[in-house]
Amino acid sequence: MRALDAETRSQLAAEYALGTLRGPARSRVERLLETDGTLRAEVDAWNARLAPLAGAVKPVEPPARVWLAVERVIAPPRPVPAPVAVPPTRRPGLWQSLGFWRGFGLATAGLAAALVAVMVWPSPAPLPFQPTHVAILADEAKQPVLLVRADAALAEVSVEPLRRGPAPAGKSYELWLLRANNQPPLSIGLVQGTATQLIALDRFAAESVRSATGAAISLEPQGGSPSGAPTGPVLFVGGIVTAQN
Amino acid sequence: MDGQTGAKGGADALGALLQATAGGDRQAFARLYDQTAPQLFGMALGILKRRDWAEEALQDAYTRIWRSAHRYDAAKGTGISWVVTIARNTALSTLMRRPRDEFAGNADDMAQMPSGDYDPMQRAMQLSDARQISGCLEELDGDQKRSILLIYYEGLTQKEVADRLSKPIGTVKSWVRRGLIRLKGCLDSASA
Repeated sequence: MRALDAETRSQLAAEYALGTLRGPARSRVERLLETDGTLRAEVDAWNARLAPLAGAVKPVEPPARVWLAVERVIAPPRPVPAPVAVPPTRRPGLWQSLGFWRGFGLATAGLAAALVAVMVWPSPAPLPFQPTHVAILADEAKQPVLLVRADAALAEVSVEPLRRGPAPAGKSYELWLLRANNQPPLSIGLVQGTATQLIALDRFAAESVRSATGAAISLEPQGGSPSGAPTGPVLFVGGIVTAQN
Repeated sequence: MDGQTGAKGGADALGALLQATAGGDRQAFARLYDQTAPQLFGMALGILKRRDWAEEALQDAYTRIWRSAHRYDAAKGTGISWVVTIARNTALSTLMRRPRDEFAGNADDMAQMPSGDYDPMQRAMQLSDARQISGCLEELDGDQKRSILLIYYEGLTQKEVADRLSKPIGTVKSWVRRGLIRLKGCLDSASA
């Protein structure tokens, strides 16, 4: 992505902070903000300039259910449940067995469900969330590349690289939720590909997880898709299965 | 950069609550909610025009505030400025997912709008705790001021402002652009 000239940057920062950018234009600025510190500083300055205007808004008491819902989200993490029994043949050592993975392909619901016990529990660092949905993203050669787990209730996604490193220089990996009924893919965020990563979901995305059919990684310009929809090749893809209940 | 709303008693009490929230202090977060939720809800209602969407946006906003309180940097602005920014961004994201034509058939919700007898655009000119921005808005042309405030309070796009004011989109764009440049010049010279 080309660097912005100073005037364009100032104008984008002002219009973004004021809130007049919408759709792809707004998403594009949000992606630029991740990498462009000067733009971020200009947006911060505009936010501070405009914030006093909020003082003219008539306060309206929200219903108590809003706080109750917030309180549920911020509640102390539930204790991680004891690991379920792992079938003796399904040991983590299998991760290294190529034969085990050969022909694995797109995680079909049945196969992935059978693997959930293996995938979820032997994870070295127990996460403070309880996965409700799991997807294993595989590459073209059907090799598993990423383990994606979501806690729809907690509105968080954990992305754990199984192989591969970061995206090529000048590019970013972007994670998408594939949705039913021809709805466009929903961007979940950028994926580093080097270490396990937690991504917070907004409520819409968290709800979408429940009905999503799969997840995919596309290769995008650095900073992510400029349009809000996948623009680059889809590199890794997998079906989503319900992890428990 | 001073003169923000909500920062009562000189010190930035909300900023302190945010810093405590960043440390996981749930009581501080609850106090922050009590002190700011009505204002943020009013703002979300202005942008989203529907109570159910505004409630959803408010819940999302406070979830974000809780999770990202550690990113609040007192050097970059007051606590209220940070919280208001998150609430507006959340409301705008909610709006982007819910096209405005879904408003049709929701007369009941529209009736609950806090507009009518209460015009934030009028009040913006009389903000006692933010004289600076009121003064700088006064320096703008009427059309520039109206366009900027419609975008801020109702979350309109420039196209929607153009439709509302029955003006060409290009005209509105240049009002907004020039208005913002003048506003920046005025606010920055006043705080220098």
